[in-house]
Amino acid sequence: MIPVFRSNRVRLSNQQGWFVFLAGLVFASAARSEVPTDVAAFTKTYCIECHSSEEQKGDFRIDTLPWDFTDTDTWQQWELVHEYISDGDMPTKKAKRHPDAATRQEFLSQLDIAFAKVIQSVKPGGTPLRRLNRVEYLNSVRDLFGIREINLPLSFPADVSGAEFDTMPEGLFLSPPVMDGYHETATDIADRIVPLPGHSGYQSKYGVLEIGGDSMRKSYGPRLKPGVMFRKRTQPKEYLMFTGSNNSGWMGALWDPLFVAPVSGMYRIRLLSNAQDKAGADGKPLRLGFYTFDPGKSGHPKRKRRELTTRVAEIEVPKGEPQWLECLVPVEQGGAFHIYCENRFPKGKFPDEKALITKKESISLTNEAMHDPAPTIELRGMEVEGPVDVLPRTKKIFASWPPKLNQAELEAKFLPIAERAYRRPLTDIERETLITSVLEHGKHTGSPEFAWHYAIRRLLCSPAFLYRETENTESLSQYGLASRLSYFIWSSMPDDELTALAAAGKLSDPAVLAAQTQRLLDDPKSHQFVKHFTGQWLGNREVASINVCDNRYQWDDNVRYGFIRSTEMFFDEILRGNLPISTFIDSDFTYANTAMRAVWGVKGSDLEEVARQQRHSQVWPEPKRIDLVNPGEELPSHVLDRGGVLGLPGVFTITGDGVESSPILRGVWVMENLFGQHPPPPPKDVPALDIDTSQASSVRETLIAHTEVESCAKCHRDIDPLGLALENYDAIGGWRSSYKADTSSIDASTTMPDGTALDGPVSIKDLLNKRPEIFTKCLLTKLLEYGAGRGISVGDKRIVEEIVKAEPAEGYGFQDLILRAVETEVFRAK
Amino acid sequence: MNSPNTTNRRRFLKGALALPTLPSLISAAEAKIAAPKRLVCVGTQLGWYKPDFFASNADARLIKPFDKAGLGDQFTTISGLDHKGPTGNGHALVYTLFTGQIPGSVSLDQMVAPKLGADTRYESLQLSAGELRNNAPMSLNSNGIPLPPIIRPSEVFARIFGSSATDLKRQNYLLESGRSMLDEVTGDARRLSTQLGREDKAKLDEYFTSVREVERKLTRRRDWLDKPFAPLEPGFSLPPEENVAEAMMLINEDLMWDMMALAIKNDSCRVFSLTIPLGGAALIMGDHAMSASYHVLSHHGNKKSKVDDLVAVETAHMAGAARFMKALKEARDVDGSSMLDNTTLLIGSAMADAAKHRRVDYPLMVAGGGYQHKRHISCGADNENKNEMACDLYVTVLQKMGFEMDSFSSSQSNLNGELL
Repeated sequence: MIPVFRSNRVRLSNQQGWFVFLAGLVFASAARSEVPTDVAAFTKTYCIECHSSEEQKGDFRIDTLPWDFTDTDTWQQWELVHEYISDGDMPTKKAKRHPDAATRQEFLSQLDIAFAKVIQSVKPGGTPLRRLNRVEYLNSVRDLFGIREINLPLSFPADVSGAEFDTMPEGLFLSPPVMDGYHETATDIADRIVPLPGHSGYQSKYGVLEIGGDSMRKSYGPRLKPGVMFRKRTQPKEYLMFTGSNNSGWMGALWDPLFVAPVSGMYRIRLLSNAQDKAGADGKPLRLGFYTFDPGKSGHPKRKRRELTTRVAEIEVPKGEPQWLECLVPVEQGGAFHIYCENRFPKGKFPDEKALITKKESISLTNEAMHDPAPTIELRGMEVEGPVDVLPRTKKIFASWPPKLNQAELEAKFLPIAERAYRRPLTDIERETLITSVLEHGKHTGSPEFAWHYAIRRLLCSPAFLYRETENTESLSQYGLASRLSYFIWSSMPDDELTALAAAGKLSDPAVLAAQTQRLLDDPKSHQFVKHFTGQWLGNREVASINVCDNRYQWDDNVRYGFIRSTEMFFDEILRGNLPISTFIDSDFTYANTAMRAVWGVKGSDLEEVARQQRHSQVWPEPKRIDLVNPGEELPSHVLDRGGVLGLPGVFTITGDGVESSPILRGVWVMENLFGQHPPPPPKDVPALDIDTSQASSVRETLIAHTEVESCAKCHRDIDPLGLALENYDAIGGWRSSYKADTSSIDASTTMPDGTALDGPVSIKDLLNKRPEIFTKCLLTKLLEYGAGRGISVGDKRIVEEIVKAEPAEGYGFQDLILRAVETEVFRAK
Repeated sequence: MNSPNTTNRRRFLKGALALPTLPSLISAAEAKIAAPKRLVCVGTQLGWYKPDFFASNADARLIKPFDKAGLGDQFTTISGLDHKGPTGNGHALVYTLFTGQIPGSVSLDQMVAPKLGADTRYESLQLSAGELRNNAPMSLNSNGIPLPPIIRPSEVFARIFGSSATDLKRQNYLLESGRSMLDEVTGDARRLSTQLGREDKAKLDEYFTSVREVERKLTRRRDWLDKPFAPLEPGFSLPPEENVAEAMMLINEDLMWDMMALAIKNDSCRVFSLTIPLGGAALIMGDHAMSASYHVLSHHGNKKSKVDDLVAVETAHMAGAARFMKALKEARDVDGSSMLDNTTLLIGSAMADAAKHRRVDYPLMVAGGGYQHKRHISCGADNENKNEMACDLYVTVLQKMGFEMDSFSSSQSNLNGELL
């Protein structure tokens, strides 16, 4: 049987306020009136004994529940009433009066008629005003100004709290620390585009490195020995040699402990240097390459710097006496640079940074490189000065520097940026206000730079940038639609093509909208959708942060990386191939990296060996596709059953605490994410059962308690069997046949309340495959919630059900379903 | 104290005592004559080697720096306290030292900062001896959000003594123009509001409230900008280079201790936290590089040479603390008392035993603050003092500083009987 929580979302506790917003704005008056007499008579007789002013069992009170279906929360409560009565859970056995079958049926059909009316009369829509979330904000400023290296301050609060997706307004409060973070970041961005003259760090000289001098000795002290970066020569006079090569990432010279750019700009780097007496490996004079990298780039520490570097300049170093050489290098605020000798070795002499090498190999390669007699460049001193100019990015915006400030210039350069930032045309008042305020500021400060700096900050703190789809219409405008679509697929602002179509009034044309959706999906930026949708639906974000007990499980960051990436790659294959969405339930492929294979007990895989290989690798072990039908190798049988979402280990990792798995959390996860049912939270004042599977035999027994306590049974008779059927997966989704402290084998056979027998993950897949419409509705609902930014409202429900009904026999392809979702009024309504 | 309504305010707050989280004010009368109270919270990410930490051991090496500095009667180490939280995953929960085990709660220093720091240039300062590998500083604000610490001594120096004229000019400009900019975007929001539906209008209120709050913050900072910074301390200067490389952490830490003392002496700030982070590099002590990284040393496996090196590193932390305390002991407060008597120093770690990542029985020390110090107190279930929570100690610290609170985070009681 399929669990039957009718409501899409039942969160009765502390989020009620939000559902008021979800209800939408335009409703037929039929949806709000007096409780019909028959209904009132029934509730008065059978319900108020426990659910009125005297007692509110289950925190529920029916005597004050209005007959108002414009409010999603109220509607959902009536749906629950319907469900409890029709399931026979209410009135309880202990109640004084019980309706006979006919009365019960009459009451239910009254409610059915009311629901049907509501669903027909209420229009879809009702997404509240929402600010850009963390991801959308950063992507938007990157797209707006082409600044890659921007981050929100560490103190910026996390977005999600209680919402299903971080695109939904429940987690998107605009609190003072959030505004503070936006304001600080706006200043940071303005600094990177228009450095303020006369302020600190503006044109200074940094005596960075005196070879053999105090600063060097202090910074490297006893660690300054022949090493990975360069080799020190003390005779006849102290100098450093570039002993590495640019085709091996670990052998560059990185100066960030000594120099960090105080502001973005071009820096003049001067080197007292000379080349040794021969040409480089390529027969040309020896050259030094300059690379910048972004130290603020968040991401995994293991992603080595080389991956984040950009080659920005190169100089030839002449032979003979050392002389001062100059080079202009663009460096971002807070950034640094590396220098490599570009042509000391022929290409390919050393493995490149993607190669897997052991520590031993790394040491021997480094030694080899260092002591290689190949000629190199000697360095005797270094100086950094700057910024001596603005970055090319700034020049691109302003054409000339310093910038001009007048009406025409602002109209030509500032207003187009503002339109992109606001994602719509400006109103006349906005054009006038923006120009006046910037000109005023210029007059006040007497400086065009200050005025432009101010202009950028002002745009980025404006509500028109921070909030999206700020409209008060039933259907989104063309521009609103462009925004909603691009934030759905790219988590960023619309590009020029989308904006142009919106301006031409063509985007709402179904054919155009479909073609654009397809274009956005085909663009590499759609990786944002893969990343953030799997991050939330399939729990990847939690996998990224969960602490797993590595004494108990084979666990390290290679495993963690594999879990995250394999889920993304699995999802990506279904998306790119437009595979039937039933592939999420069961597939004949999955993905695993070397570390995961070790965890899964695949022959010839060993986690320690993987870790050893990875220690000096600059990239993570990427998962590879496993064909589950013809694997071409011997695989444990549980691996062959890992098709579909219920084989992804990340899903099982997040339904535990890193030490123990929890059958309850697993059952709830399966219900919410595959069945699309949201069990209500446990009633208050019931102590949580503390599950400890190390006391193996008690797990089932403990859970049986649920079905014996009435207030628990209603939900747990559906939840617990789903979780128990998955008990063979341990807390990181590895396969176990027994618990740690108990050698008797795990029994994953359970029974759903209707008698359906379950045993293991395959039985749950079968259950879902028998009723494909359940998962279609679940996935469609999630896509719409993520994209439209609201829980499915009364008015949305009818449309969702129509699409589910229209599913072709072969099932929707995943892209087809996304296209269907985008063309609905659910997605296109405000 | 220039508020004309101090007495009324006091009465109001007395009435509000039923709310346990609202710290009441120190009596205005007291505050007028008494020296200001200060709090310094110090936590390491790698624990402390307990056999040498607790003064119950007469030969504890980590105590030596205090005895040498003549501060033998100015500290108490306390054993047997922790948060009674999960015992594993020491690194992950190391930030809970001053918050207790309630998720998303405020750290002790941030709890007292609005009151103790109301009249100083900085309400509080968060420092770290080096870069934090994981986002786990000791201070969390009232929303449970970690506050990023300053890791560069030059930045702390600039905050205390003012920086170059250009920097002040920049700050002044950004604060002034920031306020007018926020005024203008509020105007944008007002115009936007007229086009919105009822619910969206209500949602936009968050924007108005937040912008006003940020403006208030900018105004406070702007107000302080005009007031002259304290004159430079004669005889103190920063080294010309920044020691932010991991290996140089101890040099950085020394500077942080010194600058906390200077900031207290010139009354720029009264509430501090100092995080001593986990270091992945072999630390340099004097001319000697340690045999292994700080982190590796903490997993000493009781090997004597490693323990000795670890204790040497930790002794260096304590030497900084002792120097800090000595400086304050010799300085006089407005009422003639020693500054140390008005400055409470808490040192500890929520990583009770880094070798095993255990979180039971934290190493904790309270120093200065005018307590009747006893060198060591044993707490915990097995001892006559039955209090078991680290937060019980914090309740006593709060009360000693004049906060009328009988609970903090997960505390169940207090240590008044043992310490006051």
